[in-house]
Amino acid sequence: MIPYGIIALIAVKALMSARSNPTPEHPNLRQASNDRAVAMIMWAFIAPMIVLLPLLSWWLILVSLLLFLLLYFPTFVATRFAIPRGKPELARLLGKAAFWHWRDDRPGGAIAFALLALANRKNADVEKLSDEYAQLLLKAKVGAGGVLLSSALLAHRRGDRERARVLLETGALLSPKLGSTIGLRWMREHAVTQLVADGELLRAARIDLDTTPRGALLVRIARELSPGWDGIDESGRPQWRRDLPRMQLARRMDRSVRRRMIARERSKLTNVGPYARLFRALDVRTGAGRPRLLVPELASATQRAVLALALAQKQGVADDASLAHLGEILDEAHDEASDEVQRWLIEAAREVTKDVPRALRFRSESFVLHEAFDHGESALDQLFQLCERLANADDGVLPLSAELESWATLRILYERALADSGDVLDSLPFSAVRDVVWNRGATNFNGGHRELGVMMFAFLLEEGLKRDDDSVIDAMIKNLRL
Amino acid sequence: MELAANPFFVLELGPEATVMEIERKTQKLLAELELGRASAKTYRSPFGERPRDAEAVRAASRALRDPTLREQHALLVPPSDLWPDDVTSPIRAADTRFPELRESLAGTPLAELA
Repeated sequence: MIPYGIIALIAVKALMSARSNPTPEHPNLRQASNDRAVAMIMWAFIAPMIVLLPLLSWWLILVSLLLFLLLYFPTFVATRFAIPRGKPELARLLGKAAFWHWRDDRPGGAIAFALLALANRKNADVEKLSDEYAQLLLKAKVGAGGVLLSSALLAHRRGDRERARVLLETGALLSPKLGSTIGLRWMREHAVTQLVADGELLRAARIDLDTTPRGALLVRIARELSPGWDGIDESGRPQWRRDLPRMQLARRMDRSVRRRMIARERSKLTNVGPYARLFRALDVRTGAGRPRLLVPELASATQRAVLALALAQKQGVADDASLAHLGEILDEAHDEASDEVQRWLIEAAREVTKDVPRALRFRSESFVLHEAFDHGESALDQLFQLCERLANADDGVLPLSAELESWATLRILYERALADSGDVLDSLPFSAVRDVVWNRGATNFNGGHRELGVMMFAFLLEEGLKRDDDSVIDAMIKNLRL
Repeated sequence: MELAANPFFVLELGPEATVMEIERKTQKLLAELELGRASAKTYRSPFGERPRDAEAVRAASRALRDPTLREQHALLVPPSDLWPDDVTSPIRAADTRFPELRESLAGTPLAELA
């Protein structure tokens, strides 16, 4: 006996509660709760009918099974059938039918499913359909992850791979406060793989661990290979005193189990080929006998500097002690060298240290190394310029996909500036974006792009907590109604 | 890198080399390069093996004839027995780029974007 009355009552209650009591977990809760209510009614009324269908005739078993899969597991059918077989319209409909799981992310998510299916389609109508989906995306009014994923796929289709990567990385950095996001784990896996492939370990380390097993493995390795990552909250910097205990616990858990998790995931890999060099780098870096730069004493400081640079190029500089040793030798030579030799030393230092992890660079006290390192000025300059443009822009809101594109540019430029400085707690990039993001967040939220507004507020809260920015923390907690 | 193009490295001579030795080595290398000898096309430096051509040999010879430049370059030649060997380790502790990882995206839902 199915308690229809109780289920209907719960559905109505969910609807009414959404109208009167929006919560931070889902900013546009009215729409979300409608979706959940629809899903609840489907389970309560349609599921039993589907189960009863086979009782009428044996061949209805197949129909019943098909209906059950389509209505109740649309994402499963889309990813296992419609997308691999190049059925974009079916994929889109299935994406739209995912009431329970994706909620407000369905409009963008459905287009993302369609675009993924389009990649597997051979017919001549691909370009036409692609244009149609681009138009549909402009009409999307809610969601975040689905719109970002669709925009990335469209950028890739028009050949703009760099833009696609920016959008995917922004999707990978989405806050859990936005609730279920379509393709979030895929975007994270993709972004972290691309970042580690390019040597952007500090940016890869900032991606959330909630991704595919392979993506999580790469995030953990990136954290292991980023010097000082684990000391961020214990280094005498802001203690994140108002940080949520949950976040602190997550960081401690990550630290304590990281190596075991890496070993476990590593043993599960079936194709180790692409990871071979990465694992060897990890073994060298974290092994007991890891190399340290050691330059013998010589009578001439400049000769010793050349030798130090040669050894640094050969062995690599991957730890604080080696970098400090190199810096001392170079500074000593610099003091007694002619102008031209000084220039040569700096030029050679720049080339030799181009692979020095960024997290190490900002800790160097050497004059020559400071001259050699690019401390992220270029990305930071671009960030300041972009923020100035945004600060002078109109207060109105553009379509959601355009606003998300704009946010993606800012967000990734911020990540680049932070990574280039080598210090994930660097306050300069944050001071550049703080006010602009605050204003744009409020404008977007009030202008109807609630998920985007929440995304911006969540970013400000997270980065504000790391820098003990009280005014940001208080305002964002209020905005997010934590 | 200027430091790796030190004239003493290019001519494979020590800082104590005489003018005569410099001249003799220059002529010998130019002749070998003219003949296309493989051994003359590269030279050993603390920064590993580097390519060498006739122009680099002439420039090195000119630089070492200038006493001021010669002195400057001599200060930048560490004892050759301390130079790191040329065999580069397949993986260095500081290696941070792993482009082959992109292959691991094959078969994933967003593989087409790799």
